[in-house]
Amino acid sequence: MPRGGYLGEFELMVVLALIRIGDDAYGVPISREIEKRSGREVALGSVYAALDRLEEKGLVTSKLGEPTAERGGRAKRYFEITSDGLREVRQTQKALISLWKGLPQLTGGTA
Amino acid sequence: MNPRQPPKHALRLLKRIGNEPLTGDLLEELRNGRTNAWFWRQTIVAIATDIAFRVRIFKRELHLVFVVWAAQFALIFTLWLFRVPAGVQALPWAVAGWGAARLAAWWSERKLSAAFDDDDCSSEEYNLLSDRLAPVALLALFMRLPVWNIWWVSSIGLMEHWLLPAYAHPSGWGLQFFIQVSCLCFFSIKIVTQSPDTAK
Repeated sequence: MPRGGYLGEFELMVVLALIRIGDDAYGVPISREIEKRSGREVALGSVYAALDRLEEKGLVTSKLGEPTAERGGRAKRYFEITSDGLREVRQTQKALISLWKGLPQLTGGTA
Repeated sequence: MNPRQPPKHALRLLKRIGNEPLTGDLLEELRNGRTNAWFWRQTIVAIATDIAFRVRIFKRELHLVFVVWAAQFALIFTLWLFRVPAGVQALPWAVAGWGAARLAAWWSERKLSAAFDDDDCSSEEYNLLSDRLAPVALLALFMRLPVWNIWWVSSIGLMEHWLLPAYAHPSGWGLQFFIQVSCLCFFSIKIVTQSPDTAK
């Protein structure tokens, strides 16, 4: 059993959005992607908090872009997933699929 | 068309958090058609998550402050419970206060000399100095507070006044508790409002 925790629900959503977006992943597109896919409004502060935690764990890295006028002269912070991050996502995916399998209550499409 | 202006006070609050990319993202979204109410909601969540983040970063210092507070409060309550005379009660605080102040002074001197003697002085050492010295100095001050109270009580000779701290009069417990809790909150806020970037 590998050491280290699995990703939490919101962290997993953030990482998956990050992977989907690719090179242009900063706060706004990440939160929009999560909103689009989950149908829930997402607070940018929560997205940054999750990304800070992931960066602390070494699962994502970030770098600052150039400041732009439309952002009041503030730079964008671009995020990228690391190889450790990808490994962690795969582990979480494996664990969830394994838990998901063979549950009679969740098969057939209706509750 | 002029771009939509963000709410002034929300922007001021965001400035205090110091997360420029987040502020930029919120401004970008506002200019893309989000409402001021949305901006305010996002600001409030950003502040709440920032506080949670800072509490997590300074967890060790906050625990230390709480443990010192609980220990000294328990000790003074025990002394009061067993009716130990005020003069004797002052003794442990005088010793503890003096010890804590000496420890803080020794620690800061050691850190300062290490930082200034080293030619290759990195900013990390200065950061460590400023981040760790502040809580220790505050703790020393915290330990000194009961001693000042006792000195004050003893010097003016009003040992039975209700406004005085608990070791002088039972009614003083309310005031004493208020002072202690205020100190606890003050030190916790001081620690938490340090820059989290330099605390790592």
